[in-house]
Amino acid sequence: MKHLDEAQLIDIAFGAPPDAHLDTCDSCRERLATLHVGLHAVKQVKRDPVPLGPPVTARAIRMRRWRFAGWAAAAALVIASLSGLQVSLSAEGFSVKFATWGGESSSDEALQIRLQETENQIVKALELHAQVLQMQVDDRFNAIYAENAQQLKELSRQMENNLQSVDYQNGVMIASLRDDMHSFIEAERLKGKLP
Amino acid sequence: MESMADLELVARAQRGESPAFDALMLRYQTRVSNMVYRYVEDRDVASDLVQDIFVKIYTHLKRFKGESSFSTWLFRIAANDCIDHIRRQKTRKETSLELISEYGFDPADPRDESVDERLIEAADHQMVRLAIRQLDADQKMVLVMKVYEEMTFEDIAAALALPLSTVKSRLYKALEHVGRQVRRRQLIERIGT
Repeated sequence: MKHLDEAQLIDIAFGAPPDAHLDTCDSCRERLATLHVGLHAVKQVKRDPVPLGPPVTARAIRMRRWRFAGWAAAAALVIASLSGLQVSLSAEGFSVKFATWGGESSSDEALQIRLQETENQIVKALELHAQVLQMQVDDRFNAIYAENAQQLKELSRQMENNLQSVDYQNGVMIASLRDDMHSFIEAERLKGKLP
Repeated sequence: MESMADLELVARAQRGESPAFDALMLRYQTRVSNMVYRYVEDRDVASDLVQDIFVKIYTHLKRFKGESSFSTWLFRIAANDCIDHIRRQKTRKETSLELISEYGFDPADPRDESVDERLIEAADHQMVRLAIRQLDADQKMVLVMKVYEEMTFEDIAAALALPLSTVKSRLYKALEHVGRQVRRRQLIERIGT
């Protein structure tokens, strides 16, 4: 006797018509029953609420990538400054000088200038990083505002629908009341109670 | 944008049109988030993974040539990321913390009077979750895609680049494992009473 394979049993567990083999084979029936128990149990725990993050946009992704670029630029500037890299631009062209601490100049005055330059570079790097951070914060706020605006729009639409519904119901009731009044007046008139 | 087909939106996004990319993400964010969360069972990790997946999609979108459907391509990236994450995860959380996280309350807290009733129901779910967690990464991915995301076998096979028979075999092993655990528990309870 050839038993059903795993794929066939899975197909049956997911709604395919049962094979005639199952009528005569206790082993395959048992395997299928275990699959049904497993499937039922797994489905029981499926309906937990799933958290959904903020909407993913191209802009948010670009900003995310810039975050790393900002850090990299800041680190590069600090390393370049500390290692004595000097970039200068003159009428003759562009030049880069490299010297380790004190390697190019030994005078205190030159060292002071270098330290000042390094400090300036670090400040620039921090400013750059702060700008990137600010852009990220702005982006997050924009996303929150956009989400809020969308929710407000939805709320406003629902309120408008509700108001229209109430308005319609009022119209129906007023028309009904008016008909009742007309009927009453007509009845009273027929009874001679009204002119 | 909303009514455009995936491939048209992809073509526009590949040309650098951000609104087209945003529309694609809006279309798939819920499904991808659901799948990732069901798979990793941790909100923070799921959130980080979803962000990583969309960054990858954004980065690699130019390489998408339309050889499969966009959703298949996207779910392949998502599935690979999830499986990689589970395989990388070597350390496990402390069991007690895990229990609190799973039950949503501390079963050992004597101040909670309704704990018994909640515990019975929660324990059943907890047992099933643990059984699912014991599955290997590949079996679990097929289970999540089929049972929780209700994808067809053909779509799962395409997304995971596997033969149909392998997908069904993995699902069989996954459901068989969970089914056996449940039956074992039922048997123990019956003997206990």
